Amino acid sequence: MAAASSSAVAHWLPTVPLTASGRPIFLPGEVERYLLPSVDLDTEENSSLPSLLSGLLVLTSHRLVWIYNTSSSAHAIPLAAVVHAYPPKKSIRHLFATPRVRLQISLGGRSELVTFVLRGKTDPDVFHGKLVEVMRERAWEREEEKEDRSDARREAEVRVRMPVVGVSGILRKEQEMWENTDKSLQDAFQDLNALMGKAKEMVQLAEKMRLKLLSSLTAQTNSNDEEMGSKQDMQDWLLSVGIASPVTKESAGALYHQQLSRQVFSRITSLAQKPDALRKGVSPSDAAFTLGIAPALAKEHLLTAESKGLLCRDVSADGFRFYINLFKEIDPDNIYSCKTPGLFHAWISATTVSG
Amino acid sequence: MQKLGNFKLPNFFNYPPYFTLQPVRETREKQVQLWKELILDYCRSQKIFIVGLQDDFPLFSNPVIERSLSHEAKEVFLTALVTEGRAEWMDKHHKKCLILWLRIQDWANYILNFVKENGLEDSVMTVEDIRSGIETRGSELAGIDRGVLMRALRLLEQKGKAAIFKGTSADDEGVKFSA
Repeated sequence: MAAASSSAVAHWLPTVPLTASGRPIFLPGEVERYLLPSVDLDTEENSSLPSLLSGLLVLTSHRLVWIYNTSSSAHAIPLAAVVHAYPPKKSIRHLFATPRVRLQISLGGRSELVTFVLRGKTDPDVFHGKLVEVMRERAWEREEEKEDRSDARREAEVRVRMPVVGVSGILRKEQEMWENTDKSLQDAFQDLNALMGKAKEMVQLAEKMRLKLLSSLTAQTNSNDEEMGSKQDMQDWLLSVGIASPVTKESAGALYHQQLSRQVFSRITSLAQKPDALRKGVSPSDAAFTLGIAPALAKEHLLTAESKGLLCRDVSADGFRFYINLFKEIDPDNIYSCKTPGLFHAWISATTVSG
Repeated sequence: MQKLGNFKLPNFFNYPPYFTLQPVRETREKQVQLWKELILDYCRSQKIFIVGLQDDFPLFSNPVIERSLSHEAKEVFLTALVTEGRAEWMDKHHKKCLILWLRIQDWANYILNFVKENGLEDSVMTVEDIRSGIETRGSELAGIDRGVLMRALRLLEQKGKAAIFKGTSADDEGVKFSA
C-alpha cells in the first residue's frame, strides 16, 4: 500500500513537509491541539481513492495532518475545507466496532466523505469535540486578519508622515511625538523578532535533545545512576520548555505517559535506594517532596512503580510506605545467602548500621 | 544474627514489606515462597506441629521492626502450604493448622529407618514410648505429634511393615515392627 495508492490521494490532499524528526512544519501561528495514534484515513464512498492506514493524526489549529507511521511523508486537510464533522454514531451496533469519525470535505472543487478510523483506543467523542472546538475558533482566518491589520497600520503611518501645510508649532510637536513612538515601536518589534528567532532555535534544539535522549534511553537500560541523574535533569528541562508547539498531556496521551513514566520511575528507583529509604522506605509525601509534585500524584506513581515490580509496599499503623523490591534479589533455595555486591547486600549494610 | 529461640532468622525477616501481603502477583508469589520455606524450617527446628491462627505464633511478628502478619496474610501463607501438601487445616474455620515439615510418608520412612538402625525389628513398643521413650531421645521422633505418628504407623501397617494393637492399658496402643 505504498507509492501507487498514495499518489492517487496525494492528487487531492496536499502534502505537508516534515522536519528531520518527522514532525510537521507548521504554518505561521499554527499550534498543535490533539494527537491520535493509529488512525486510518478512508474514503469509503469513493473507492478510487485507497485508504491511508495506521498513521499519526495531528489536529492543529489550522489543519488535520496525517503522518505515515514511517514518518516519511504527510498529508493535510485544511480545517477551512471541512464542511461538516459528523458526531460519532451511538448505537449497540457501534459499541463494539472501531470508532469512526466522518468529515464532509470540500477541497479543490471536489466534495468527499472522509472517515477517520480510530484504531488507537482514542475516544471518538473527545476527538470530535476538540475538532469542533478548533474549527469554531477559525484560527487560520485570524492570520489573514492580522495581515489586513498591519496593512492598515502601514497606511496610517504614511498618513502621519505626510507634511501638514500651515501647521502650528504644537501640531508639529505632536507629529514628532508620533514619529518617535512609531520608531520605538519599530525597534521593539525588531527586538521581538530577534527573540522569536531565538525561540525558534530553542525549539529546534529541544527537538534534537529530546530525540537524542529518547534513543539513548531505549538503547541503554542498564546505565548507572549518575548518568541517569543528568539525563533526568535534561528531560526535566525539556518538559518544562513548552515553546511554540508544546506536547501537552492532552494531546500526546499515551506517548506522554510512556515518556513521563520512564523518567519518573528511574527517579523513584534512585530515591528508594538511598540509605534512609532503604531503612525507612518512601512515603507518598517523601516522593512528592523529591519529585516536586502533589502527594496524591506521587502516590499514584509509587503504585504504578509497585505494579511494575520496582517497589513493594509496607502497610502499618504509620501508613503506606514503599521499599525497593528486594524479593527479586532473594534466592528461595538459599534464604540465608546474599550476593555481594548487590541490592540485598546494600540493604543489609544500610539496616545493620542503624543507631 | 537475629534469633528466635535457637532458630537463626534470615536477613529479610527485618524487611518490613515481608510482613505486608503484597498485591502484585509476581512479588506475592515470591513472598509466599519465602514464608512457606521459613514456616517449615522454623517448625522443624522447634518441633512445632500445630500453628493456631489466633495464637501468638512468634514467627508471625517481628518486634524489632514492629510489624506483624495480618490474619489474612497468615491464612494465605498457610493455605499455600496446605495446597502443596505440607500442611493440613485441622478445622473448617481454619483456626488451627497442622504443619507437616515431614510428610506422613516421610515420617513412615523415617520410622522404618530408625527401627532398622536400632535393631528394633520384632520388638514391641508402645506408641507413647516412640513419642517420649528413651530409645527415641535425640531423634526426630521425640515429641512427635501423636496424630501424625498414628497416621505414619497406619501407613506402615498398610504396607505390612508394622502391626498396631491395643496395649495393656486402656488408652495406649502398641506397635510391632517387622523386618
